[in-house]
Amino acid sequence: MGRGVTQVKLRVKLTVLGAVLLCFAVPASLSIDGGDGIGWQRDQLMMWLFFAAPSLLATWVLVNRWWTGPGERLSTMDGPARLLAIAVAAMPDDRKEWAVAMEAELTQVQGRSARWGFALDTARAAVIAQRGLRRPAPRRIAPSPAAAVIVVLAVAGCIATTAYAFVHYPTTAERFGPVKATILAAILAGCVWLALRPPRSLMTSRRGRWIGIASGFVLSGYLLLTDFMMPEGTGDAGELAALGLLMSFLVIALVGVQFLGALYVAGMESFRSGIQTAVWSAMTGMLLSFSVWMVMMMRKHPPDSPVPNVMAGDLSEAGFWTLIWFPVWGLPFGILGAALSGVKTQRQIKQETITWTA
Amino acid sequence: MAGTRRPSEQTIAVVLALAENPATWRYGYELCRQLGLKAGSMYTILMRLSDRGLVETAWETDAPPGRPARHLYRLTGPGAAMATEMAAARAKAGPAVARLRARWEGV
Repeated sequence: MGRGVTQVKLRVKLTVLGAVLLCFAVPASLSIDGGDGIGWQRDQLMMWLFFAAPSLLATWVLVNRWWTGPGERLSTMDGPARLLAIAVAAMPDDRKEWAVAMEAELTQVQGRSARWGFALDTARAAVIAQRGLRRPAPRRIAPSPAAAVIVVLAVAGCIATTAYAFVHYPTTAERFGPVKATILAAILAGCVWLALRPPRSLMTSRRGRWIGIASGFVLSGYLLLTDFMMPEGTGDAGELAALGLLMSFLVIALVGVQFLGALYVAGMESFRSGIQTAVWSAMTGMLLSFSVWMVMMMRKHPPDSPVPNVMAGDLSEAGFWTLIWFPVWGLPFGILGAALSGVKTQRQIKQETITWTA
Repeated sequence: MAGTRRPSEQTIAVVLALAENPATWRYGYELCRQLGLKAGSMYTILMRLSDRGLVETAWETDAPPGRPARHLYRLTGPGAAMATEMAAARAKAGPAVARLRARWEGV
């Protein structure tokens, strides 16, 4: 590999990692600004770095994986060739021959402007071909109806518990605010879209899909279990026990289920299947856990309790610790699990090769 | 209906260009330059003609090392028959079009 390629690779990695770091840096800077004292700010910074670490590591793994495929090829191309390669990558299988034809023909075009012109024109043709020159075959809605039903029902559960909170806790809607409500609606809509129109890359492994969904049920079941295990009494010991139970769910259970599920499926099938497991697990788990969390909070603070106003805070917490925490904290561990399984498989392949040669 | 729609002027030009030497394999970029067509239009037309069995495709077999093999195109039997019809229709319409143009220009 040339030195130029290595530099491009490094630049791509740093750009992607920088973008991920920025996603954490914005809320981190807001939270650090809010407090006072250098010690407190240092603690906040360390906490955010700790939260960001799995995402950064998982991003590093994904970029490395991508680089061994199309990334490496792209790095050796000039701008027009790169543009065309990206445009033709999504062409349907029955048009792949034309994709190769366009790319091969570009090698014959001389001159910078002529190359750009050719690449832009053929990229347009590639996009037309993606939509289908012939009457396009209608894309099936919900290629896995059972999985779609589960996710849609889970979303319905989230909406129902939120609506119940809005109706029976009058100050909740006002305190929750339109920004959080919009984020909540966007996340739920995204989940419905993923369930009904999942990309092909999320549907190739039946095992990955169902183990992921089962993992989601396990996680929300564990959350429900923690509610029954919560100590009755108050005081420092009780609060500490409650915090410990919650942490066991948010950190240990989530990480363990995501990591092991993806590791198992990737070991049985492939890295991609492992990623699918992690995505389905995170999606199902976060939706079901949101509803469970809301029900737990409503049991704790009934509408006629002396502190019904806390429900807005409870709703925010439920949203953050499930709908945001699951994908941000749990999903990276799923990716790492899938990647680790890939390492194991490569070792096995190496071992098999040695055995074969011997 | 798409199947019975009249071919566009650009499609006719491509078919007639391929019909100039029906036995010769042609390259996409070469056709673009000959006809002054944009590559996007050319490949869309070639894909459509190929889908309808009017153009056959092949890969270059003697590509020099280090260069990818190019895609080649020529008319099939039905494609050549269609080219003959198109040429005849164009020849018939030619004088009429010239007359209309002359009237329009007031000559």
